[in-house]
Amino acid sequence: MQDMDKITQMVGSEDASPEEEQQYQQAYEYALQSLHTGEVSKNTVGRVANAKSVASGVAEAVFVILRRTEVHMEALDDAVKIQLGEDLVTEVLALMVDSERIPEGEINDKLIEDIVTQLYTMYAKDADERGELDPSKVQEDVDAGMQMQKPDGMSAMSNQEVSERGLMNV
Amino acid sequence: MSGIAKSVKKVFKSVGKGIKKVASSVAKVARKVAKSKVFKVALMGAAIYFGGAGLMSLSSGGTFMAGVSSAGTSLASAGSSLLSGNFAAVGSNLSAGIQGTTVAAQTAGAGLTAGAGTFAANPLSVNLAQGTVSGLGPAAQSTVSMAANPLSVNLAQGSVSGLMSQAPAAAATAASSVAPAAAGMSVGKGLMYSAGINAGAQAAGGYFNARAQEEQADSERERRGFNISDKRGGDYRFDVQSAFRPQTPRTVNDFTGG
Repeated sequence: MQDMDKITQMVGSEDASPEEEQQYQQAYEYALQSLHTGEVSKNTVGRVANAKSVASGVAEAVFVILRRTEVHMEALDDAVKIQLGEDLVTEVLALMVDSERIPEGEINDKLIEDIVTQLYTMYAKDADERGELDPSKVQEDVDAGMQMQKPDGMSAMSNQEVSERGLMNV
Repeated sequence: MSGIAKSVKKVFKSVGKGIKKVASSVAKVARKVAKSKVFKVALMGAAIYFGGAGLMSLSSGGTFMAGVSSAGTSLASAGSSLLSGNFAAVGSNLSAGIQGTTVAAQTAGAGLTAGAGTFAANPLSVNLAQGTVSGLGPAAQSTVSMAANPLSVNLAQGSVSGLMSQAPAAAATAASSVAPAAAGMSVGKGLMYSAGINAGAQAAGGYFNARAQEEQADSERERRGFNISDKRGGDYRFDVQSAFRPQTPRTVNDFTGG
């Protein structure tokens, strides 16, 4: 699909460095072992099951393990943290499906978006409380977002427009 | 919590190769999460949306998290706009979320005179969360409850409305235009953040739009039988030859179509 290619192009991609790959593998192994160790695993399921929503429960569970890994590793590159966050969301959701807490059909873009949103705010709150939130870095992210250009031909059409133009003309 | 814009680009070759998966559903779930690519796009959107809100709060004398919390209140509507495909509304919803944050240190400029005194020396502070406005002149009127008259602040247009009924007469002037203080957040800065949020929203909106179109087109192709093979392993679903092969009529019903 051309539009998806454009979006990928817009975000851009870059291979992780060997150092980042190595850090990621170590962090991944520690995080996954933490997640699947008896007590933590039970706590994770309970945390999600008792949360006010699946999204907030998964976000909280992922946040706890991510921070635990970060502390264990002493520091994690942002790229590693992001990839690990995605991996952990996947693992926790799979754990919930396996324990029959949520049906697999409930996992969709909306749920993942909600999880990511809550994960970001939890992380921001925690970093702020620890005095490690750097506004200049946040500013860089906002500035980078401001420089995003809507790719040519990627119009934000409403459903009505799509309906009128027809799918084959999209 | 930094460098997200750069970090989301990184591609790891060793994703998922660390240790043997314990959860049996992980492969299916991983396919869903990885295929959608929504994680990184949503993260970028969150960084712009909440980051922008936090920065705005910081620049106006508040805390980063106060801005993030305030911005969160309108996220539900922004999210539902994304999912309903009404992408044009996303930008305005997100912008509204940012504008709904506490706005302080907006000093009233020239033209805000009120009978006996001026407001120029008396900074205007607007707290939408509490529905209060302070600093409009005489002490007795320095705090106005906005419960009966909702306040509306439009950073993009640099205007404030809803001060008419309880504010001093001169507030009518204030309602038309508020000049931002040099030390506080400028209207320009507000505009810049708003533009960034819109850009992020457009990017996210474009993504969801593309996804929705892709899925709709796919289902349409399947419905019309254009997909040669199905997902269960290569069975032909549409036999062109038999579909167009002339049928030899054998019964009366064949002739009449009955």
